[in-house]
Amino acid sequence: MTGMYFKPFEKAEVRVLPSGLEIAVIRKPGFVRKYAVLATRFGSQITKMRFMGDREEYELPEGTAHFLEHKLFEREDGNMEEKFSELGATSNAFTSSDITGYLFCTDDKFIECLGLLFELVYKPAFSDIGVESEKEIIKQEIAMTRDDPDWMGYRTLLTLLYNRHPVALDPAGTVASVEEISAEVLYAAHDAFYGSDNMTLLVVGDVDAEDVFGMASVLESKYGSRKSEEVEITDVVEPRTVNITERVIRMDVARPIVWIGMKDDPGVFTSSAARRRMAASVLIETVFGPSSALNDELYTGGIIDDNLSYDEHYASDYGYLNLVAATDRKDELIGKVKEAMKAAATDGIDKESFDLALRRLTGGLLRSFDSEEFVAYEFLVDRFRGMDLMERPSILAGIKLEEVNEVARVVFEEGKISILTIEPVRNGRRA
Amino acid sequence: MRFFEDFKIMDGLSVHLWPTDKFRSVHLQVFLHNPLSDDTVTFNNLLSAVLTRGTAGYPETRQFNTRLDELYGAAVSYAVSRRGERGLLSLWAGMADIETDGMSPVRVLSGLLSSVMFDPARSAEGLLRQDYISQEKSGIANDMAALRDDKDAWADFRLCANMCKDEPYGIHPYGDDALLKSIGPEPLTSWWTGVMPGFPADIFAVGDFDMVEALEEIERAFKGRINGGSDPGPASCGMPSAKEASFITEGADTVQVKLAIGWRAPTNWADDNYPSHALANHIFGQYSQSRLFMNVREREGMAYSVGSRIEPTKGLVFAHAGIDAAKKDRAIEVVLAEQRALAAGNVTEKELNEAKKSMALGIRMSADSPAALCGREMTGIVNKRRFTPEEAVSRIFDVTAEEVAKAASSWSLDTVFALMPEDSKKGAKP
Repeated sequence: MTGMYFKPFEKAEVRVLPSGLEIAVIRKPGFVRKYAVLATRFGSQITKMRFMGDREEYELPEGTAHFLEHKLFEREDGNMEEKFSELGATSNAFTSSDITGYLFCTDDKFIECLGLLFELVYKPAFSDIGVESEKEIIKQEIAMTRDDPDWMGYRTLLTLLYNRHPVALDPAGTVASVEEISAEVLYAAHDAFYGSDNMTLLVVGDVDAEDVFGMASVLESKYGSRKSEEVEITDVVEPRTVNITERVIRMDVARPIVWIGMKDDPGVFTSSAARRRMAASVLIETVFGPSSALNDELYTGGIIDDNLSYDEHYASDYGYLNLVAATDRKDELIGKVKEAMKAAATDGIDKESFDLALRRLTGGLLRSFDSEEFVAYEFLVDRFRGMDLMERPSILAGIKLEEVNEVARVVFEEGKISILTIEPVRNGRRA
Repeated sequence: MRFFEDFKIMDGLSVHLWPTDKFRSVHLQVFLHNPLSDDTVTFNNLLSAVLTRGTAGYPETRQFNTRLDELYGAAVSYAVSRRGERGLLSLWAGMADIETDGMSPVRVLSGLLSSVMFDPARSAEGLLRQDYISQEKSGIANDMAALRDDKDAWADFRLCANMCKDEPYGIHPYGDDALLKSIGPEPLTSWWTGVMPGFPADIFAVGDFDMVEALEEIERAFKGRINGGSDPGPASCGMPSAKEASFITEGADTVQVKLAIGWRAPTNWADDNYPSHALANHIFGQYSQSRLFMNVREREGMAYSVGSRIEPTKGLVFAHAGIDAAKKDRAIEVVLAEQRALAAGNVTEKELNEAKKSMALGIRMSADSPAALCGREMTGIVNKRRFTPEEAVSRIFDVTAEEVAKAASSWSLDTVFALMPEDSKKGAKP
């Protein structure tokens, strides 16, 4: 890796306002689009909480965070999306397991849009009528995901990996849980999680950080900054081993799709999830990547006809890897993947593959920085999980082969692996 | 601002360069023009899949992929797409802006892409490798079958296939199954040596490079190998005269109904009336306050995903929605009523202005993505009229409410397609 030169990484300039709101600015000179996300540390994995002083736990139906995200746009006189549209900007929002984010992008109306973003997030106007009509839209969103093999594969795999951890819950909830949501539930969740001190505003684009800090400070107080209600979140204890090792579901797909999940130990990486995550990414690059022996054997052997796809997901209290491939020769695929995992766990990774993976990952990371969406989303997710996107290149450069081998020993162990197969429906029937 | 400097190397070979320090990666993309047909789509797909398996210098796929790792995860990919009746084969190489072995990225990428296209792995007899051909044939056959897995894309394809069954635009995105099965090393090698080099080419590069060096490197890598002499044919064939609209349903094992509706729009990217059609489509279904979004989703709560798009070369407008099976007829009614309302001139100043600003942002933002910008330029090149983003924006701002209504009223409904659950009572349960 000596002699590698690239332009220095962007720095995130961070400031915390007296209200507790954290603001981060990543400057992208020359970019047309200015992109801002106001995000709260609240996602689908919080389903129970206790307000301070209360004895009773408050239950949040599954899908509450996502429902709130939809309904926050509602206003008595229309919806907030319309106000962004009037400025020629686009707005959107997303919910994942531990984050809900509201965003806009604009070229020339940044300050106006920033005001609208605070108005959107700080000034809810939930109504029972609005909540009822939204249920139909969300049920169609759930129905749509039921027809999507990628989504069904990924979500089902998580339920196989995790016994108790709520990361396995579908962000949209279920048709039944969505029915339980009311305006009162949404207000309770907003009180608990939408205070300034629970949120981060991130701006990516050709902007001046000091200008953004100044504007945000004025606009935030205009729309009523406040602290979150103090709440306790119930922790879960997740076993080391997977919930279910194998399952088959049937969908209208052309041929079987195999998902393999690998569960890292909770707790072993609490000191530095960021470092553990980078080591895990090097591991899967070497074992499953396009230049790996396994990928080559599967591809040239006709067991797969596209490179394997794989990914790693880490937060402070969980971590897992996943692998997905379409194949007509499921048993051979699974057999060879297991052999490769066993070899990596037993013999370790060779130095040459390790060095190549570092080069590939470094270059890939640099390329990803050309996407403002990537920078915004990854920065926030990392931040909320105690990591820092901007440090990824330097963490990567410092990863040792031994750390990668240690991850291999843990995640490729028996009992840490779940396998899901989506089999084609036969005779037009789902099994 | 005009981003690209254009250089005509010879008839049928042009280079477009945008030196900029805005990005951390360098983007090199070769577009080859060809007439859209089962032959070109089938051969071009298979050929590109085989070419990207290995080069003479790195003939085994694992060696080739290892070489890409050494180049800091450089990537090579291809796409077979269409603009109206013009087929486009594009081969792309990109890498992080890092010097390798003293060579600039633009030099590395030019050499890499040229060796993929013109110096691939071959057998002792000089033919493209049989093992790669067999594997990629089976891969493409599987991709053809898997197109059905994505139900929205499938409904979209079935709409086009029905709507344009007598026009090249209706052909399958991966080409013809029977033809694919029949292709062996000899015909594919002949296509590679005899047909591909004759496709007229446009080569784009975006990144932090010196213009003179980039032009030299690209010329050295591609000149004499692309001869670009063959005529790619017209990009837009005549529109069939108005006929009765067709209503088609097909079955699938889905939870929702996937609705896809197509209209013929008498316009083309190069026409002076194109901005009014594009804006009409935007108001109809392409921005956050669009007619379809506000009525099908927000007012009726029938769909989560709903929208429309315009095909600018051939002049087609498509609407799509994923809806509750019980509400199919109502949804069709609402979509068609919204198009009629637009045609009747029911456009407010407010939505006209919002839609213009929304389109302007989308057009300007293409400059933040090399791939998006190159794609836009190609639409201009195919249709023989290029606009900078600012020119395109000012054309949109000139459109009046009357012109939007006139454009929408000229759309003729062609086909309504619904992909229906075979048994709407079931749902997939994990």
